[in-house]
Amino acid sequence: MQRRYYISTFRKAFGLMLVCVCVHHNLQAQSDTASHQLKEVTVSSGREQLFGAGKKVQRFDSATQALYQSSSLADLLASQSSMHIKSYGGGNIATMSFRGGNANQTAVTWNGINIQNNMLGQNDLSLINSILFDNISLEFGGSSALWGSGAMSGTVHLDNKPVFDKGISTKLTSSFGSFDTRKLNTAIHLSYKRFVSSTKVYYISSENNYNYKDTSDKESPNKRISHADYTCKGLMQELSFLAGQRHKLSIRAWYNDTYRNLPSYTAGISKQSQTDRNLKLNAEWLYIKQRYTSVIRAAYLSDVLNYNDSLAFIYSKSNSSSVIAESENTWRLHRHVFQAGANYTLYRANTESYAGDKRYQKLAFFLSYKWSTSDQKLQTSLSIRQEFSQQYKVPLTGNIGTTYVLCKSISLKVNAAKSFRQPTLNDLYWSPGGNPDLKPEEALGYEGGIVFHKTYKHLELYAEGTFFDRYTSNWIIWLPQANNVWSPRNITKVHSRGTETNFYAKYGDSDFSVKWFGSTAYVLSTNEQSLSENDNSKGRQLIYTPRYSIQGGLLITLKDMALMYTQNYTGYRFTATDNSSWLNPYSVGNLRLSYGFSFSTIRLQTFFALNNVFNTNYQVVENRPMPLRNFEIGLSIMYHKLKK
Amino acid sequence: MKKRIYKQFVFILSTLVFVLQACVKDKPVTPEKALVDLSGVGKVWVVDEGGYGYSNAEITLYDPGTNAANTGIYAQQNNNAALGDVCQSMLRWNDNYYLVVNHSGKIVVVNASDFAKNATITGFNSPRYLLPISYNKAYVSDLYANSIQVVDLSANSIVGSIPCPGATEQMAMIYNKVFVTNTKSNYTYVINATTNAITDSILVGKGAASLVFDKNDKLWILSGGDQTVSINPKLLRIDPLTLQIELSLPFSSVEKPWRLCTNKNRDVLYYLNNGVCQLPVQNTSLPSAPLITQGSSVFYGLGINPADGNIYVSDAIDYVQKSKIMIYKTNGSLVTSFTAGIISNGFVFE
Repeated sequence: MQRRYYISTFRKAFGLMLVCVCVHHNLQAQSDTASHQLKEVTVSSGREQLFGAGKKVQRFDSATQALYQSSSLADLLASQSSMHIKSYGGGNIATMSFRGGNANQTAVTWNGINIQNNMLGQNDLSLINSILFDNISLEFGGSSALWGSGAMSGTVHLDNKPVFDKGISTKLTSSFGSFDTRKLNTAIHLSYKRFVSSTKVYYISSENNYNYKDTSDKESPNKRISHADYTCKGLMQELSFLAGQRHKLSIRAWYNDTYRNLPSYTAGISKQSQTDRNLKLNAEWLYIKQRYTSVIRAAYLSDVLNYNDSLAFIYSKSNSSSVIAESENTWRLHRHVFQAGANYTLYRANTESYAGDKRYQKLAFFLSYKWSTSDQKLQTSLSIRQEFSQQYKVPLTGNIGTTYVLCKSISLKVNAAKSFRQPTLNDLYWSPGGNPDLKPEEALGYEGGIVFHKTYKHLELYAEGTFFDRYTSNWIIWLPQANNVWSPRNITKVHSRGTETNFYAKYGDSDFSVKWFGSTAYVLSTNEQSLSENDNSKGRQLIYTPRYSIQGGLLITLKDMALMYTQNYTGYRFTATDNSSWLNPYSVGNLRLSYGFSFSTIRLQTFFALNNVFNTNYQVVENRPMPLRNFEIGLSIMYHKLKK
Repeated sequence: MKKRIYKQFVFILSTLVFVLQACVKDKPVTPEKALVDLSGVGKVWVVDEGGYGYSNAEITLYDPGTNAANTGIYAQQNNNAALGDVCQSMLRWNDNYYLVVNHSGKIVVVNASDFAKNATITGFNSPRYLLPISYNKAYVSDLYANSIQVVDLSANSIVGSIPCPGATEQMAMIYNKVFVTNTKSNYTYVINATTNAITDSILVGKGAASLVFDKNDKLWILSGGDQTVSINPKLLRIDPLTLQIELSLPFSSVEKPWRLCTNKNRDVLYYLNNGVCQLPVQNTSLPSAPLITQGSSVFYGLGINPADGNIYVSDAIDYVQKSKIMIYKTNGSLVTSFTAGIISNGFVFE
């Protein structure tokens, strides 16, 4: 019976795809203006930009991204956003927490493809290098209607935007830092009128044997981490073609190979190590004809995770992969934008911990509509997405939002979203304990905000205040069952709410500028469901979820020189669900400096980073000490042959 | 014009930062500690093993007389030092307590009088339990070492090792024979306590981790089985002289009994199996239902107070908050309860 339901669903889905193709053919009959089209082909905008009315989005400007060129995404986000990065020690695994949600509830997209590891339902941000992407942005709040599973508390977008007709440029960067950390990366961009090739290769190695102070050991508090070395290598290749006036084809490959030894922070010896091999392939065909845009995406994601602990005789190998195909069709009709699309995903995983190979498929349909007044003062967007899976029933998700320009410098935003996150393959199939009857987590949230933005000659002021409120049900947690086997269940309910601010004041021009920036987040995320009679976690703040985080900094640019100082404060974080134990707040300062000079087509750039300036001894995760003051110094050589 | 914009900006910013940031005081309130007299008689020590990898093991001291419990005794008596990562077991021997800290690979030795650390025995792989053999000699079982470590308690160092394949767990000694349970092996090994050599083995099935002697000096071993190879749990009664299995009480495939212990008179056995089960040693069949049902709780540690026969059982709840300890009478009626530390796994009765 269940099976028949799905077959009929798939049939209906196929029918809808046909309709999309027919509409496409009808529109082809219309005429267009070629030059305008080509421009549009080269600057296509993401779904969140089109249909994210009323949402809060944070983009990192190019100067900031340039200063973090040799850092991991974890480092960039930890010091430049109010997001909480849960780092399990320097160089170790780092996950994120947005607006009181967990890592599984934050999606990561790469050029519009959701790249969460399907066995774990999250990403290790320490494995992602910031240098690989042209644009990095944070979309706050639920967005499953646009991105599917996991986009509950926020979404991180990693995008590559090929620029045509810019000539040839190459860049070689080498750096050296504390704990014998060496980084080497190179980038080669070939940019012609109709063809762009971008190649990035990186190699990082570190002994990572940092000193720390063990405050719980009074006899010998000065300790050094051992068995924590890592090497990380990878490449990203991107090819983009423009065909005729209407077609753009992009093909991208991203491969990362990281080996790291995992230290034992709590005394004793460690023989643990982890190897991650991640391959991501992504092809995208974009077609624009006057008011119609079609994007066809295909992706293959493969994650290999091998974990060894020779002391405990654990030699675990996990292979998982996803195959994704997506069609996205957009019509722009004066003040209306309409989008319809479908997504097919196949998940596969193979590990000794599952009873055999596991796979299942998923089909999603999404519709979006945006309407704006002729003066663009009022913009409203509405999106819905329905997914069908053989494994579980997915709720209908939706997003509705409005941005209203109150006066020249002030605008108001409201947004409401229903979102979900599907159970991971581990949740479903882990043996013993996996629960194939799990339902997806569901969240219903809304947010509102006010934005002040004014430019007056050389002065630019920006301030944004947001409040949000989200209720998550069917929250999945693993607990032991009567037979002592740990198993995941949909039992927790969580209420997350809070306020955020984001602001900057910038003065200057291209020769000299000073930017003061900052953000704050106040997040209450409390458990609303008692697990059992003795459970004392109801009404308590979730663990590892700071109530207060404040981040601020100063960026000064003077011709070829850039100086940035950031200071972050993270408040108390509880380590027990009954809030009976906690970690103390920490505040960490970071300094970054870069200086460049050119002779003819060659440009040299030196950079210096001083992390943890005040030598703060802190832990993000209990008893996982973070590095004390450390530095990195590097040099880039760039060659740029501009197009004549 | 410029001034107005500036004013507007400052106004909006200050509103956002100071008004929108609704205030809940961030600093948590440290609960006041109950003062429990360390030297008093009849005290109960609770071993709070802590979360794996978080190094937050602790010891709680409970006074049944006043119902006061003090969690964090180790830190309190040792200048706020941390005990370590996963305290598996605790045992009193001579004038010391031996705290076996599993994931830290060490045994912390504290004075019985003031709980201050006097030594640390290191060099273990994954130690589980310590069994005193003589005044200055002890065996330590280990999850991964494939051997039993022989420890000199006067020098506080490992002096030898007895090869013992598998994951060794609880041990017990009688007639100079040490019986070693093993969760990965089908056998309980028998070691000669003088020669430190394995002399024999008993086929008990996989998953054996706990054992006790009854009033007739018969050895009871609770074998947990292994469902990945379809071996069901069973409770065995063994004659420690002949090593013959006298009685074998089988459990069903969905049951997972563990934590076998006994009362002071050693005439009633207790274990956890979806609740607290009670079995008088003369019985020849397993109880059909637990004496105390588990309900929605997660029973984790079990102990019987020799002073009054009361049953102490811990609820680990979600493993990330303070455990609740319930005290029941032998008829299963609840006496009282108190809060201990994270994941309480056992009790030491003074």
